[in-house]
Amino acid sequence: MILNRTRSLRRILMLSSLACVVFCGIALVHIYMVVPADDGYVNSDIQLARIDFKQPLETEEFDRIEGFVRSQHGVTQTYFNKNDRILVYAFHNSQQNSADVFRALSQNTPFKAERFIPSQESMKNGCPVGGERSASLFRRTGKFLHKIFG
Amino acid sequence: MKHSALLAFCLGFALAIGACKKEETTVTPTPASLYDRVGGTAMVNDMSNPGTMIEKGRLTLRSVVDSSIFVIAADPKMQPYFPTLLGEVTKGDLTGFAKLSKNFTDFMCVATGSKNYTYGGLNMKAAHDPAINKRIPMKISNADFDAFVGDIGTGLAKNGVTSANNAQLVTDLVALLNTTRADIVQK
Repeated sequence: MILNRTRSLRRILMLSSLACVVFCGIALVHIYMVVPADDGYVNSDIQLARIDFKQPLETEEFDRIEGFVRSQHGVTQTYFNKNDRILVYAFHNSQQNSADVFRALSQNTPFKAERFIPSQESMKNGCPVGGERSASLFRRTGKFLHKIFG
Repeated sequence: MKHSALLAFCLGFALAIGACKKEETTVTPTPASLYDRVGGTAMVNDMSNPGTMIEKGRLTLRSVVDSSIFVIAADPKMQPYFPTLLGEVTKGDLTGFAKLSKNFTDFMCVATGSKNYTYGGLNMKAAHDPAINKRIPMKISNADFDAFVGDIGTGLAKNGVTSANNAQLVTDLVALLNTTRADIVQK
């Protein structure tokens, strides 16, 4: 009697385990198929940074500043809002960081400037099309599966 | 009797043919979507992603979006709405620029009539209502929206499209952005 019970319990456990494995397998195949291999993100390491200038600037000074920043290693693009004296530049964050660019600018040019760093509080806000979808577990699992199976 | 039946049949047949012909001539071609006008589905090399192909329409829109992002990041009026653009992330993490570029391009592709891309974000009304979307710090005013449209215009100009050389395209793109104004401006 006890032996029979043990056998049926073992059978139930085996069947349950099998069902779990099959379910997980189907779920992973589903995730693999639904999540695209490439999320469409390009230049995913391109970081923007901003420097605010605290003094009036002449046309040639705008050019000098922009030229200096653009010549820094890893910097790909610059844009100067001349009305507000705000410089925005892009760089590969695998090759450069904004602190070093600002330090180099301060040491090599005489202009009064300030590195703009958004507060942690403000970072919680932002335009909804900024999107956080890529961070979901579902997507990360899909990306992981694509990395393994191609 | 036979003759009049034959005549009636011929007349009916002729009328039917005539009616068909008339129908054919009134068919008007479907106007090209804005997406088609900026390049459509023709596949071209993606210079920013070597070895991959991309629809020309999407490439054009992405280029405008990327240029506009620079303008937005340097615009103090836009700063409260786009702080994550300037938040530095650690190596290996997706930057705010990459996220905004992709998602805003998705939105523009769908809005201009692309059939091959999807936008998975919230609808515009819910997305810009601070009571629903906690990421929006405050309600958006008409002046803020105008500044945003102005920044997109500067982004267009950086891509060589201005009212002077392509007034119709600029007008249509601005009109498209303005279709979202009623949902986005809630102040």
